[in-house]
Amino acid sequence: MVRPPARAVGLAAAVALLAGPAAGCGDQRDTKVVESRSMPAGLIQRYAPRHPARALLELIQGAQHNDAAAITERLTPQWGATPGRLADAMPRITRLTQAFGTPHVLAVRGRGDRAAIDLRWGGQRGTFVLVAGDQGWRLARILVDGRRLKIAGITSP
Amino acid sequence: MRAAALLVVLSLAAALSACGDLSGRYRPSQIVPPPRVDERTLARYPAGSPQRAILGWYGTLQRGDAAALRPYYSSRTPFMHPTALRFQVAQARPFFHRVSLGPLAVDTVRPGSATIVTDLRVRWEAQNGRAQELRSPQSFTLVRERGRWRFADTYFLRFASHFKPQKPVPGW
Repeated sequence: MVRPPARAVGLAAAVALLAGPAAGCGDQRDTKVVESRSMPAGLIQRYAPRHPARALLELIQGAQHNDAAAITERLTPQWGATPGRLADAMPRITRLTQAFGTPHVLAVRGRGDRAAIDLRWGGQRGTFVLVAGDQGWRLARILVDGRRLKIAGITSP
Repeated sequence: MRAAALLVVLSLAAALSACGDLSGRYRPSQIVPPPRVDERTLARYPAGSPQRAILGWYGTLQRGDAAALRPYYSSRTPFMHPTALRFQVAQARPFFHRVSLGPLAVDTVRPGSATIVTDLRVRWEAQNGRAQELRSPQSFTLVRERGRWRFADTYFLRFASHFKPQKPVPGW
């Protein structure tokens, strides 16, 4: 058996001595990233800026992204979503909409200042009614199986 | 040869001890505090941009400076009494020492408002040196008022004061 020369063993040991701490601890390579679900960013860009489906998807993104101001901006006053009521409901709305994942637009109906969008989302089908105003499209009503949706203490007009 | 063997043993000991504490005390996984927002962080985004407004606001909250918050909000924001605001800022303070913001990107710009997307990041580090970063999507919709980007409501303060960080996912 050929024994390795002492100098080579010493060199290997010195390399190990330096490499150990350098490769070791808290290194970015050891970071596991865990992300919550939300719809892909490119989905909204599929629709033109003044398209009602775009307004609806922006609202859904706002819900998934815990953005109360984005939701307030896109609801009709008939929802009665005051800052206090919305603040109470937001944690539940965010959790639910994240769990539902990516929405799929099935059909966009209507013309002029009213549009109805059929959506498949989280294994359910719903109809989202939007109305156009000076500030763009706003969500007026959500119907699931012909009934008005109730979510986190807020009922659809 | 004996010296080389000694060096090998020392190297192994150093490599093994490098990942932490040989005191035998158990150090549970803990949250790594986020870096403070400073001038260099702010300089990543153009002056007057909505991203810069968000970072300035975040830095103010990291410092717990309730008195400096008002200019970050719209004049139409239903604002609380200064004492109540100080209380809420104090309650929200742990959030800003645990959670960092990801890169800020402009998502939508409408007349008079802009939505900026980012994520909230909580970084846990375990005793073995491994880290887990939990990210949840977050956006901020700001309104343009008197030449500045401002928050339209104080919702996020309330959210931050009730925030409980999610525990790391097991098996890391």
